[in-house]
Amino acid sequence: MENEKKMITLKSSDDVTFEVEEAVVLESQFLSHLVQDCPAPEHKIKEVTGKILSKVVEYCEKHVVVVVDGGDSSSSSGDDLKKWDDKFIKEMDLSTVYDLIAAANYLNIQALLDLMCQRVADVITACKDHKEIRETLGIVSDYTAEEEAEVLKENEWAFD
Amino acid sequence: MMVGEFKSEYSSDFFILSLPADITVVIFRLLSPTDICNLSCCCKSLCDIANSENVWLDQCEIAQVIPLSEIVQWRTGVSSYKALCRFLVEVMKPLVGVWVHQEPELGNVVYVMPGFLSVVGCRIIPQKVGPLGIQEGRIMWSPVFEIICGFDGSTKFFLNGSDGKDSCLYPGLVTGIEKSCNVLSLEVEPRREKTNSEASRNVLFSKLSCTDKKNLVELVTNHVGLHVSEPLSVKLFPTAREDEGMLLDRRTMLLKMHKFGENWKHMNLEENGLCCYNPKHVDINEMWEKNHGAYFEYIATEEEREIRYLNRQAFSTSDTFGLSLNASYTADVCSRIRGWPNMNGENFSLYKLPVKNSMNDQEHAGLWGGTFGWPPGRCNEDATGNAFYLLMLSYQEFKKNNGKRLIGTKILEGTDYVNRPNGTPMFVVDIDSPSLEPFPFDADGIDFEHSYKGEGITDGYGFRCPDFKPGSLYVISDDHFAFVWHGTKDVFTLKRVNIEEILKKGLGMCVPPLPPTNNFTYMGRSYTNVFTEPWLCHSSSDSE
Repeated sequence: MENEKKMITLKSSDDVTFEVEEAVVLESQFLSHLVQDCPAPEHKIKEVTGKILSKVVEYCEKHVVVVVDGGDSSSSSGDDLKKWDDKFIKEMDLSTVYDLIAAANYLNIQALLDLMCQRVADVITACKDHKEIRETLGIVSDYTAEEEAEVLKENEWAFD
Repeated sequence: MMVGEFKSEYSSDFFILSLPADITVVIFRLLSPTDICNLSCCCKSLCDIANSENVWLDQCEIAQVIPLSEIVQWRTGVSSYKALCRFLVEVMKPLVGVWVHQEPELGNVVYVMPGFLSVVGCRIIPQKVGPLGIQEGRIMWSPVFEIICGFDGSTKFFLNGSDGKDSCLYPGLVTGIEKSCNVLSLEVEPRREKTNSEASRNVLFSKLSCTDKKNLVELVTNHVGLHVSEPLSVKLFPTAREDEGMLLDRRTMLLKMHKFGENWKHMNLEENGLCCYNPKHVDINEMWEKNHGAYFEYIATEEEREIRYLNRQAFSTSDTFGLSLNASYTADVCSRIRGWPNMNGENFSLYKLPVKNSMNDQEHAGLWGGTFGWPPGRCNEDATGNAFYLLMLSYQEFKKNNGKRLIGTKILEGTDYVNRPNGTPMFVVDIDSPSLEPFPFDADGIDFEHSYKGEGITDGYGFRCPDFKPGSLYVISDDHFAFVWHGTKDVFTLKRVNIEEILKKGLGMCVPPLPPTNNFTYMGRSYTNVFTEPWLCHSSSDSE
């Protein structure tokens, strides 16, 4: 029986280390290539901080295909996973979401990237007008009053 | 830039701006046009991204009203994909579908579909099928209206019609289209310079009496009508690849007509000059005087006379008028007869047939053509011989043993004289009970996929109260059915029809439109085919 799982250590830019199973690493296309190309036990990821890497690891550990005792492989059931995803993004502030988008893009984890983009879209969709978007996302307008009136008029058709 | 080390004031430079383009595309795909327009009002740099062609090309696709090939083709006639998307979302999506009216009883079905940079309304007129049964190439139709998309995605409305000899176009404005609209009304809009009192506008027209409305529409159409010949009068949609140049030319002509009226031939679209062709200066009081309505004066109470006078007067405070089209949502359009909207005979309004989303196991829902006789199309001796029927098939939950029923609602019939009201079901079958009755005719070795037990319409107590007798529906193939009445062995064969495809292939036959007052909705009660009767081309002058 191959119960002995291969462990890999990831080290963040600020030297926080995470010991994870190889299967977790394989969720990331970038890391799976890295692990294949240089089979060292430890990999430094200079572009991602410890705080964000911990979120990435948490996500990948949840989404990895779980090998249960009987030897059948099955991922967590779809509904449970969806609930977990919802909770995962709900608890997150926007700056973490932005960092995770950049990290997921860099590490090439498509599912995480999609999830985070959905979160950004949800935040924007929940706003009723441009003023609320500015407030929520902390955008400072660089329109003059006239310019703003003009751009509002141009887009009037889309507002109900 | 290092991930996780955004400066705390990153917010002043919104994050989306720093993302690679392929990720912004993913995020924008998850947003609606409203969200994207909101974003573009936030700041200049977001505006640049939110107005990019790629973002709006995606939105045009997401709208799902025309295929990508047409989106790309239509782009040549508008200033941007954003402008095109505006037209698709604002006009096309709410309007496409099947619109109907109760009058005339023989059938008033207007099929609204994409044209070329336009939305077109085509009336499917009551008709017979040919000797070979239901054939795509023989569907007869007539133009009702067109809404052309301007360069900036704005709308230009044209009512189709004829002045008795020639085809005419009657330009007007689109005053509003609600996203979930179900009533489409032709109105006359009084316009005051500058002070555009939007709120009272529509109320005004709808308050007038039916005759006053008719007279107003007639008066205004007489002023704004423009004679057209081919290709302006036909060619509403692309029927072949090589049509594109011709269609672009036609659209340019229509835009000119809308802007300059009868002088359009000598004008360039870029010229400003004589704009404001619509609305027209019309002396309405003179018309009120002329249409005194002796009969009304005779029967009306003092109060009714007073109300009519006030309504007329409120309307005549302006002196310019134009045709307008307005699509609104009314909650009380619930069906009196199953699957048929509740209609107001006093307005120039078409009503949208409710089409349920095709859910699971609803594969037969949609528009079907039908005719009596077996084999299909064989001439019948009785009154229904060769008549073409248009049916809307829909499903309904059935309380008894939690089953589902398939209902074939008649929305158009091509008999000489209408047999039953539109909106009545031709047949209702229980799709959970297979029929054990054998098919009563020689079926040329056809294997039936299914057969369902149910009942079909027969004569009852007069026009409005038909009776139902047992019958079975035989499924010959996915798009070919036959319903048989067990008692009489009458057979009604059905074939799925895709009207949009038929018209776009140029297979149908175009029939000249009615006079403008009758072409949008035919307001008189009639049980015969008003759409092919030449005597009707002369304008009617009904009494009240």
